[in-house]
Parts: sequence; C-alpha cells; structure tokens
Amino acid sequence: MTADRNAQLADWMQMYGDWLLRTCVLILQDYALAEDAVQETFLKAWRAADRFEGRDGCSEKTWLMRIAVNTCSTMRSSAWSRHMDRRKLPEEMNLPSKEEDLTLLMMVESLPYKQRQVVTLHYFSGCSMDDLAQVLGINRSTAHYRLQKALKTLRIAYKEGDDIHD
Amino acid sequence: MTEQDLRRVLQESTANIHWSKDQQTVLQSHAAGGSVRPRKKLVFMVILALMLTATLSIAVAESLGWGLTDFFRFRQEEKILQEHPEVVQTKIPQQFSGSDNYTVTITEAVYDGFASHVVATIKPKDSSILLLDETVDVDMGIPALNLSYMEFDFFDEDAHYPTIGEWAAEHGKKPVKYGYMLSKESGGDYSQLEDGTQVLYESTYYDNGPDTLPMTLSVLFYDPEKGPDQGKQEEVEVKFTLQKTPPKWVRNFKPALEVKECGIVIDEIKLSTTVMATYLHVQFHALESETTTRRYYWFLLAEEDGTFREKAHAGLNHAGQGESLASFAPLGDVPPSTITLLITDHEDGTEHLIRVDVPQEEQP
Repeated sequence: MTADRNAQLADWMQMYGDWLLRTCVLILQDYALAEDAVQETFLKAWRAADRFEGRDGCSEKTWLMRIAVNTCSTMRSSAWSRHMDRRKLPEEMNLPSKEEDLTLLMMVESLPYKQRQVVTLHYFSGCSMDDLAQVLGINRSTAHYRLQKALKTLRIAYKEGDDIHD
Repeated sequence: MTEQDLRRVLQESTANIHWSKDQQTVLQSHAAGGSVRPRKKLVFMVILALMLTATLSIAVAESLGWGLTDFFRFRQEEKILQEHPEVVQTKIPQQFSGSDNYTVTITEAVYDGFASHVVATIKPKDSSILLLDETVDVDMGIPALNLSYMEFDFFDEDAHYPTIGEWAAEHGKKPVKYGYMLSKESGGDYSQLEDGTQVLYESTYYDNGPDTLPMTLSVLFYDPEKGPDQGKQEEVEVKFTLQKTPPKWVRNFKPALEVKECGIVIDEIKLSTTVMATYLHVQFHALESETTTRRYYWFLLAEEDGTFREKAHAGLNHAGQGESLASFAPLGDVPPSTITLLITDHEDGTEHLIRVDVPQEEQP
C-alpha cells in the first residue's frame, strides 16, 4: 500500500506539480509561500491517498486543487503574509512586455483575494463552474456569481481602456 | 481585451515556474522511508486539536517544543541550525510585564547583526480561552481550512459546517484575538499547539546591528467582536536582549564600478558572511537620466557560471532607489577573491552579469 502511495505521489508531482505551483503563485503572489503550499498539498494528499476514491464525482486533479486552495487560504492568514509587499509581483513570474498585458496582469493580481482566486482557477487553472464549486466548497451558482463579480471588478478597472468580453 | 487575453497573460506570466526537482526529491525520499515527516505548521491546528482531544494529548503537544528549525522546515536554514546549534540562543534575558491571563516567553533566537529570528510563545492560563491570530475570521467555516486534517473527507454542499465562533460557543470556548509587534518592523509566521499555545516567529533585519540588541515584543489581546480599539482587554510586553553571533567576515568596499548597460555606477558593496547567510548590500547611483534613477535593480549573488546563488529564504530582500539588499546561502569561511553579481532590471527583467574583485583586507 505504501509503495502504491509513493508511486502515486511521484505521479502527482510529475503531472500536477507545475500546474499547482503556478496556480498557487498567482493566488498567493509569493513564490516561497506558493512552494510551501504545494509541498503541503502533496503531503496532505499523500497522507489521505487511501481515502481518495473519486467520491462525489470529484476528479483527482480537482481534489488536489481543492487541497491546494485550502492550503493557500490557510497560509494567507499567516502573520508572514501580512507583511508581504503586494504591490510587487513575484520575481519568478515573467512580466509581460506589452503594456496592456502587464496592466491586465496587475489588475488581476490587485483583485480582492476571493475574486483573484476564482479568476485564477477559471482562467488559468481551467476549472469549470462545477470544478470551481468543488474546489471552493461552494455551490455552482455562488461560483458563477463570484466569477461574474470578479469580471465586473476588472471591467470597472478597465473602464478607461479596453473591456473584458467573451 | 478578451477572456482569451486573460488566459494567455496568466499562462505566459507563469510559464517559467516549475515545481522543482529538489522539492520532489525531498518529498519522495520521505515517502520512500515509509512516512512523510509531518509539518507542524498548522495555522488552525488548535481547532483541529480541540475537536480531536479524545485522541491527542496535551503532553504530546508540549513535547513538540516548536522552535526555529520548525519554522525553517525544508529550507536551508533548517540544516544550518542543525549543524550549528551553538548560534541558537535559548537562555534569553527577558522581562515580562506580567499578566493574570497569559504568559509570554521568548524561547529561541538567532541574531548575527544583520538578521534576528525570534521565537516566542503566548500561553493562556485559562484553558477556556481560544486564542486567535488577528487575521483569523471567527465566522470562518472550520472544515474549509482544514480539509485533510479533519475527519471530514469531502464537503457536502448542503451541509452546515460550524464556523470557528459557533464551534467555540458550542464547546464553551471564549475566542480572544491577539495582535503583536516587535520594536522594529518584522515579518514572520505563527503556529498553534494543541494546548492553545501560540508560537510566533519573527525575523527582523539590521544594517550591522549592535553586539547586544535590546528588543520588545508587545502583544495586545482583544474581543474579536469589538476589534482592537473598542474591545481591548489587555496589553503586555516582554523586553529582552539578544547577543550577536559575530560574522565570519565582512568586506565593505567602494569599487566605483560603472555598469554601462544599466547606466549606473556601483558606489559601495557591503558583503558579510555569518553562519546563517551571506548578506549583500549594494549602493549605486544613476549615470544620467531621471528615468534611470527611477529604475530598480536587484543585485543577486551568482555562482561563477552565472547561475544565481540560492537565496536565504528567511533572509532580507529589498530593492529600493539606489540600493539593493539580499541574502543568500552563506559563502565560505574566508572571503572569495571575486564575486559574480547578477543585476536584474526590475522594470524590464533584463539581466547583466558582472564580476567584482573583493579586497582581501578589510578597507578602513
């Protein structure tokens, strides 16, 4: 059983490591914290691997993301994150060379936490509304409402320039 | 701007971020050994622990003895402190202002003149007090933040999970929030033990601080419903002093080095190596235009091949106008004859490598 779990851990890191780390960097806006969050995520998943059986139609990928998002929320509450300078993006990120792209990135990263979380999960991590509901532990309509609210915030921020449209 | 743009920008901006092989190896090696070493950093561990008191014993919690190495888990500092336990100060002279309700103690510290890392504990005397860091929301649903630690496997959308406040009321606990600050600006982390003790860790940075460093930790306790102003219950402080562990070597020199590609002149370099880290402080000025003076540059210590030297995670990183401070994995016991600096333009991301001679004697 342990060997299976260990092999599973290796598979998870191989398949989802980059994806989870990038998501956590966008959500936490801190590379070191994001690394910790992903590490914590894999540890939690490793411990709970025996309990994961794809319940409630939740895919393995969604399950890992749910743990990661919860871990990010916990870390964000920590005293350390309160001292972070949120005006700066992590230096590990590629800053877009085009000014409008940079503006868009900065706007996303300036969103309130829950809105940034939902925008990252939907537009970066590829979570559908159902995935969002499962990952965030909220119902589908709440997920939809939260995403629309985030887009509205971005639209307002963009009111003097371009607009976000489908 | 379209949703496709949004997707593209988020994808492109993180394209170079990869889950490191080192992290994979660490986790896999623990797993291969049959167990993954559990992290003790559980911000809401107290909630979990209180809910599982049937299986957890307070004696075990106390024996955990949270210290600096726990906060530096999996970071280079963990290994450094294990190899150099002599730099960890455990018998710290301190004076607590006193309280009928709490005990605040400075338990461990490291101080090398450039950084101090301090661990303190806050322990309620009344076991019914549920201490919460000021960032914790009493209305927060418990399982939402403790998925894998709780016995709840998965969320049930229709179920009602208790908030921290509801859980506290149900179990006769009185939530009390606390905020704290050191006498100098600091950053840190905290953890909560099973018996309700809060363990704080704070790092502070100095420009060659004194041999004996006086510090004060102030802690404010307040009613979470009323906030820190209206609901203030008590304020306590601990005055303590830290002794400097002398650096291995220090080289402060003025190379007056022109870096044309960046349009700057490096005026002064302060390079100091202690057991904990190598600290690099660079001061520079712009050659000409106002544009250049507004640009921010990171000066990173690089290996000879140009790859950048691992940073000290618990260290200082700051880029300001005309200066850059950063800390790295410690260099050797004697100063190198040259160092390689990786200069990064914070604005456009361009990088320049330069080599700088290090004087073998300390300049007056």
